[in-house]
Amino acid sequence: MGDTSKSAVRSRLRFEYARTLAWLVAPLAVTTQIVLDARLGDDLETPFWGVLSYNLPRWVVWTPLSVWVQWLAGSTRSWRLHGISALLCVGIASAAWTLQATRLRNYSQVPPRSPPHARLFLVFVPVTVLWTALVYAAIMAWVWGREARRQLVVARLESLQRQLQPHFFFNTLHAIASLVRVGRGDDAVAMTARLGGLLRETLNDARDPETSLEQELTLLEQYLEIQRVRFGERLSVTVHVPAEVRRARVPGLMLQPLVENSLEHGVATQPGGGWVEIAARRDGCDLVLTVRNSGSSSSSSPPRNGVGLRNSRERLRTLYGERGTLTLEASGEAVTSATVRLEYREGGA
Amino acid sequence: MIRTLIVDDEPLARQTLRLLLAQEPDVEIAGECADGPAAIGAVRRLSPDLVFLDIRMPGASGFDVLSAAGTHGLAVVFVTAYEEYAVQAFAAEALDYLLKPFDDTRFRHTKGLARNRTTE
Repeated sequence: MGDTSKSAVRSRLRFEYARTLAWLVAPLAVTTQIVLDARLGDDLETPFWGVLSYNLPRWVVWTPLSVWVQWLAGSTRSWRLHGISALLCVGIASAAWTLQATRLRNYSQVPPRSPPHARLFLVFVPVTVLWTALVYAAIMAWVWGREARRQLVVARLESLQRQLQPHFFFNTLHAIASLVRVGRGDDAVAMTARLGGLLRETLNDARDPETSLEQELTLLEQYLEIQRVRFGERLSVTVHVPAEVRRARVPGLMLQPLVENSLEHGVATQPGGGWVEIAARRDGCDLVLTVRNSGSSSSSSPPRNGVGLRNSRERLRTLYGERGTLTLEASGEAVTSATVRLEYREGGA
Repeated sequence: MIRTLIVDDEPLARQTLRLLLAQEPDVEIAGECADGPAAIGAVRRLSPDLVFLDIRMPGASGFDVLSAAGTHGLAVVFVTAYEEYAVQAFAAEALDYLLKPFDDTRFRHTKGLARNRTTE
């Protein structure tokens, strides 16, 4: 058994201890309250152990019922099954309370009344319905909280994957090692610094979600310098961004994955190399960014709608609502283009 | 002499392999290719003993090269940054699978494997 599964078993055991303890401590607290209230009212007859033995089984019956509800919550989303299970809980709890009430009646100091079992059962139903609701609410809060945390982790992992592909790092490290081996130490140092700059930006959690287009292009240039060393003469990149739109706000690291996509699917798959063209312009109230590359996306590579593009679209929607869009087009003469359109805003750092 | 072909689309990666292999007296570099179709032609024409083969390349992948040109008597060392092709590589009877970046010790191990295979 691995360390991970051992620690999973340990936390599960801790959870079960806490659950059992909760259903034991609750009747103790209630019993103490009842007896204290009685003493304050000058009733010295109410026996602590009598009240506890009456209360304890009523609460303890919920331990197995909550285990059952939790198991069901983890294994099905069918509301019909949960409804049936809730009815069963009410039935079992009411029956348990009825049996216990009739059995303990003799020990009670209260003068005995003898309602029939059926009537007692019906009296208990409204209370056990409330208890069932409480158990369900607590367990669902726990299950949904766990699910939300899991989705958060997945989202963060996907966003890291979107920002830089792992094999980009390995290829760059290999290129740095190669530069050292062939005696180009200065180039190796420059490439290390550029990779450091990219890494810092990628791993920076506290980053403002938006940056200026100018800064985005500076970062992109670092990335392109690395890729130029790797691809050599096969890569040709042009940037058409007029000075007047460079102050525009854009989502940080939005262009880089699109350019990476272009290199992977356009330039890297063509024996003679290829070109990438990055452009920005203002269109009324919108800013339009385009990344075009030679080569059609369908040639020997999977379609370009993976995790990366879905993430980019989600970021645009989060930041700009309906005004943030990303579209991909393959035009006839073997050119693929990605177009980002978002609300034009200036200012900030 | 071990007649060796170098196939990688990155000029720097080819230069590195050339440099590392130049230190070996019993290795002769038969040729270099920068893309898949060129590699298919070179394997057929030169019939080398050993090939250092990139996987993701323009035109055709390393696996395409092997299935098109045949691997009879050819020792294949895949050199790539992608670890996910390792199973497929050994299914194609690869001699070794070098993950980029690799150090000199790891490369010496590969050369040892190649020497054993080609002198059998």
